[in-house]
Amino acid sequence: MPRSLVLAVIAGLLFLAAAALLLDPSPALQSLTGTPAVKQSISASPGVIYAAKFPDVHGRPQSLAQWDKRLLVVNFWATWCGPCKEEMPILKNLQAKFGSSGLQIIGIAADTQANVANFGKSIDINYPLLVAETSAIDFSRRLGNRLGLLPHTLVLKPGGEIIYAKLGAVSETEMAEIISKNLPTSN
Amino acid sequence: MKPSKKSWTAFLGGPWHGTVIFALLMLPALAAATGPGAASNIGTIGEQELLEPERAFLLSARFKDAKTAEFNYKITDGYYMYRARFKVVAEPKSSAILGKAVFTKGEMKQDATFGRVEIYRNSMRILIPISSMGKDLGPNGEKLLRLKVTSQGCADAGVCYPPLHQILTLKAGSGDIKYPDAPAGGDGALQSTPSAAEVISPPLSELLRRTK
Repeated sequence: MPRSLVLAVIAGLLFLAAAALLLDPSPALQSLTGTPAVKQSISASPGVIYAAKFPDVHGRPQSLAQWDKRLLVVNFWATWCGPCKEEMPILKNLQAKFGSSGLQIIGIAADTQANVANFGKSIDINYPLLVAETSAIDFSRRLGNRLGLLPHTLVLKPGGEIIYAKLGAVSETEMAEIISKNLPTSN
Repeated sequence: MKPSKKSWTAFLGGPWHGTVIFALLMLPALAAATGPGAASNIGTIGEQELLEPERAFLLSARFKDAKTAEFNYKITDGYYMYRARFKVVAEPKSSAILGKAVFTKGEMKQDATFGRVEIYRNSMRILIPISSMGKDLGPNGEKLLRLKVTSQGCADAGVCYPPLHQILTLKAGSGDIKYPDAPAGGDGALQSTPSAAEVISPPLSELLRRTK
C-alpha cells in the first residue's frame, strides 16, 4: 500500500507538470533569443496604470483612465530607438483594423516634446502619442521592464488586466490574434 | 463499453486512485495559475537574459596625458553603440573647457529607420582634449576633472537601452587607473595604464552612476 501511494503521488506530480506545460498562460511571452522566457512579477495594479497621466504632442495632459473601457495597447517607444520606429506601421495597421471594435493603441514616448512633434510630421500616426521623457522609462520599469528597454508593449483588457507584455518589436500576426480574442465586442 | 460497478471499485481501490484524487484536488490551483488572474505574474520576454547597460557597455577612463582624457568602452558581443549618441561634457559645464572629441572609426550600419549610421561593436575609444581644467583639487592638491558621459546602445536581440548618463572623476598626477569596485563578472574597467592619472577612490557604483 505505501508503494502504491508513492506511485500515485509521483504520477500526480507528473500530471501537474504536463498540464502546466500544456496550459501555459502566456504563450506570447517568448524569449527574444528563442529560449524560454524568465517571468517577472508586475507590481503595478490597474489602478496604477489608469492613474498615469502624460501630455500629448500638444502639451495637453491625457489620463490613461479615459481608455479603461477599451482593449488598450500601451507601446513605450522613442525617436532614437530604431526597433520602435520599425514596428510603428504594425501598430498603425492594428489600430486601423480594430479601432472601431474597441481597440485603442497609445504610444508613450521616452523622448522630448520637440522630437515627438517632429516625428509626427514625418509619419502619419493614427493613435495618440504621449510624451513622457524620462518618466516613460520609469513607468515602463514599474510595469516589469527592469532595464527600461525599448520598445516595450503591453496589452490591457478593459479594466486594466495585463494580458500580454513584450520587449522588442511586436509581430502583427501575433498581436492581431491576441487583440481579436480580447476585444470588448468579442466578449 | 459501460464500466461495471465492480471495475470502478477495482480502479478506485487500485494504485491510481491517489493520482486521480490528487489531480482533481490540484485542478483549481492549476486553473488559478493559468487563468485570467495569472496576469499579475506576467513578465517581459527574455529580459533577464539581457545585461545591465553598465555591463553591456563597460567603460574605463584615464588621463592619456596631461591634456587628454581617454574613454575606452568594451562592448559585449551582441550589443552595439551609436556614434551619434555619445556626448561628453564637463560636470558642471563651467568646471573645464573641453575640445572636440575624437572617436575611433566605427562600422557603418544600414538602419531601417535612421539610414546609414556609424556604430561600434567590441570596443571603441574617445579622446577628449582638455583646454582648461577647473580649480577642483583632490585631497593632495591634485587637479580633478569631472566628466559626464552620455551614451546609448542597443542589443542585436532587437531592443535599445535608454540613454545612459555616467559621471566620472579623473585625478591628475598619480598612478594607474583603479576602479576599486568593478561590476561582478566584468573586467573592462580594471585596466592598468602607464599614464600619470587615476580615477579617484569612490566605489564604481558612485563613479559610474546613473543620473536623472
